[in-house]
Amino acid sequence: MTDRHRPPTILIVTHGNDNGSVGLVMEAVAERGGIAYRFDSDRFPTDIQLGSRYRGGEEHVSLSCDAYELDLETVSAVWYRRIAIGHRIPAAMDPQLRRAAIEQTEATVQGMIASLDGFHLDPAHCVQRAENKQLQLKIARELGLEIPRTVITNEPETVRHLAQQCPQGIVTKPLRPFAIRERGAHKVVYTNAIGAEELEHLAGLRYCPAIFQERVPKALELRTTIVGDRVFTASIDSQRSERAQTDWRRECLELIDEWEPYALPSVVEDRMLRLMRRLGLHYGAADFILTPDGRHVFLEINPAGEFFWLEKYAGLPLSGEIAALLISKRLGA
Amino acid sequence: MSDVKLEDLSPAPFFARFLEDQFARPLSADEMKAVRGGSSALEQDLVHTISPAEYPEWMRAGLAGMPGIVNAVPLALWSPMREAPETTMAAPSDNVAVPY
Repeated sequence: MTDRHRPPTILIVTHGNDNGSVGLVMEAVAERGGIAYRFDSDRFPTDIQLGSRYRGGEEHVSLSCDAYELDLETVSAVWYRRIAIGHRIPAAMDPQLRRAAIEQTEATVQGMIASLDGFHLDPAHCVQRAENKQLQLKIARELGLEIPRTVITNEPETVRHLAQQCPQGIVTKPLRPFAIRERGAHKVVYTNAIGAEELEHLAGLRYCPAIFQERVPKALELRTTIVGDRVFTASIDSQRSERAQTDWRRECLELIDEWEPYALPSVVEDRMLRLMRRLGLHYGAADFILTPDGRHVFLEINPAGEFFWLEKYAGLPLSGEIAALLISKRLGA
Repeated sequence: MSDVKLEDLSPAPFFARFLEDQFARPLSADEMKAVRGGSSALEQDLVHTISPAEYPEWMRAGLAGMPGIVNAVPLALWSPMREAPETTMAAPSDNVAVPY
């Protein structure tokens, strides 16, 4: 069978606890005549076997588990959705041995993904680079997107100076989302307002910097998802809920079915597409604020941002667009 | 991921004072599923486990001769859920990497 006649073969890199987004895209791939294989990276190396054999002019790389054996040369596209390395390497293992085993596992998985010839949504190195908030803000500003006045610092005086310059107040957020488990419960850090009390307690910055931004007045919060050359935006009126005013995620459940499609101005869409090209991305989910006077203020872009609720509740056809983009790329085309 | 008692930690990074429960109240299983987007590995309408002997005939016939693909089953019919990794459960979780 030639590449031209072979159905598009999509490798989805994720983990066993990912959500329904994977199933939506797999169904959409199947509807379009493709075949999707799910690689749960947390199951490697304990439950999935990867063999890379190089000999003279020959190369054979295969992935096998209890459900399939796949010659990776047939993969036409990769969806780099999520990755969870080493989760099933026993926690009871000596910590140094486990750390080394995880690092070797990560090198193997990332090397396997990097060496695949097909289309990558998106290349891991592009995703990693694009996750840098400083880079995002720099390019966004260069492209004419409005961004909040921002400092990223470990210097308390710099934060206090920003606060003095922003009569509407300032907020802080982490550079990357994370969770800390306390007695079995997950604790997170959302976007928070910085008041007079917080300005007196900035000493902890010496152990960890943070992002500080002017507080931008909100009419709506927007989530813009870009897939290839298509831009989809949905909005939420987070100001109707006191707990959600600074960060809508605090009331994500209560607000989840209130997202609705939103028409982002074409000039902003065009700038977002140029931002994507500068970052080397074909997929991204960006956060904006629509101000009461109609300005669209760019906050950040997530190279692998979640989308399920925008499809389910706002009706944006994102899984189909992702599948179509993956399917459209043929090996050797 | 370690399991810490936050009030016992000193010194602490700046962000520690902003740590909060992810949700204002305990969520039911259905509510958690709603904010997480479900789990493709648990959604019985999307995924169920079958053994090779149960593969549909069209699949065995159609894919067996395809170069490079041996013993294949569409993944929508396959459940990989066993000892799944802990995730942040953030809603939405925008991270690519799940910390180990």
